Amino acid sequence: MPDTKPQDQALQDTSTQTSDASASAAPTAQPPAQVQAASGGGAAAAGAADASTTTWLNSQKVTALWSINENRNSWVGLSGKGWVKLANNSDSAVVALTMLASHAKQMQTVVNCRQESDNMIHEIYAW
Amino acid sequence: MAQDNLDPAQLNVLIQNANASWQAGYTVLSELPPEEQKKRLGAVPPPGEASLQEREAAAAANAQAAGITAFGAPASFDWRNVGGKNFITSVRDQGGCGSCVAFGTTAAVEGTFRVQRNDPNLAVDLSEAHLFYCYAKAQGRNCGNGWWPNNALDSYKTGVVDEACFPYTAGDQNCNLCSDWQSRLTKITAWHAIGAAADMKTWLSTRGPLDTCFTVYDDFFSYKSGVYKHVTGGVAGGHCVCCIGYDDGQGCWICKNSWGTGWGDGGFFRIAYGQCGIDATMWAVDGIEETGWLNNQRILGLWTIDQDRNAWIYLNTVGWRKLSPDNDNILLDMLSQCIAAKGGARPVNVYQQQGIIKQIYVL
Repeated sequence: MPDTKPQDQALQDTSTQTSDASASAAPTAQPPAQVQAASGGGAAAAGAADASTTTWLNSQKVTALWSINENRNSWVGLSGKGWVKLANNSDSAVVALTMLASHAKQMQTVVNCRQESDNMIHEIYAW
Repeated sequence: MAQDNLDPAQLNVLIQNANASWQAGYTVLSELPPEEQKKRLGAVPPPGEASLQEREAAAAANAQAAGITAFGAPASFDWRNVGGKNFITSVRDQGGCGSCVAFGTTAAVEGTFRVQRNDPNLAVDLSEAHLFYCYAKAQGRNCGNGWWPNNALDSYKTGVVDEACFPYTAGDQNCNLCSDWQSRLTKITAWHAIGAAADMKTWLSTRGPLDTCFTVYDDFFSYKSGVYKHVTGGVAGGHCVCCIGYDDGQGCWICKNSWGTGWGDGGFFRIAYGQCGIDATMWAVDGIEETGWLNNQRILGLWTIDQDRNAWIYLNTVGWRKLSPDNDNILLDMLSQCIAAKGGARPVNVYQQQGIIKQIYVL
């Protein structure tokens, strides 16, 4: 049975398990106030990822949150985007992603989110 | 001028005739007698390493065979000007001692430290004296027989004190560390050699400066500016410096020397790709080991990704640091507390072990 998703949103749930088995990643972007025009110093802005299936949703406000009594099924509502599901490949990852989204919702601060071809959010910067 | 030294005016004619694009002149080195000049050269490959001649041949062959292209790296890069920031520590003077390996290696470590912290003003000045008169000396090396970067970098894994703990002066001497030297060590996490020029550029443009060695010919002592290529004069010896950038337009590496600011272009020089073995191999410092408390920090950002137990926080003075991934509840407990600190704009004290946050106080 497929995962439930939030109602009243047209976004199609095409979620599938990602095959990301790469080595442990690390953040590369700098806080908005410290981003420089020039490259270097590891100061790349979020959005530098080079993959045709990758979309960076930058400077988004979290307008809503949703979860249900199903494993790893947590969604975030982004300004101008609507409901987007958080990556569901790991317990600790989906909880950490939910915590960052919840923080952004509470503080009404912006996030940069990486959405992949499965339509799920796989990476979040919370500023 | 010493009798055997090259005359800069004549040297400039030879440079022009060779279609080279550098300028010679009187420098603090060109005026020294040849035996004094040679004292500044101390890069001596140990058994099992490529000789200086083999490095020259390898570098020339690489440059000629395939050109030097770095996919994805910018066409030029200089750690002295990254968005207006200068990450390179000041030019030092090794004086009349073949301790260049200690200076080139230390320059690479200092620059890497500033890059790792993303802080061009980070006060870091490490002791070349500790590196050379303690570690190198224990291996039988001295001002007269030099050293090699592999050994110097291995020593940095054990730790080197700050300059004030053991200030450098030229000339063989006893290992005379300050009383509290054990609490003043800076260590690197690891190092590795890079053999492909494209990889050198990628590292330079993203991670920090590199340690390198090359063959010095007599004309190099008179270098003032431009892109150096060997034009005339015999081999003076091996030398170690710190590579801080490159320029594909000029086809050259940009390096920091340790002969004071009275030599070269304010102590720096440019050298053509493939020349004198400069890019046969370079050595990279993987990172600076940072262990200890960081107090009164502010959390400016949070990051996580679709991987097990991989969450980071951005601290205002040191940048990104990873939260302990030891198990799920440790990671999530720490992340919860960091979120509370960030949300409430509260300061934190964190204990990091080799750059990983292991303990947090939210105040």
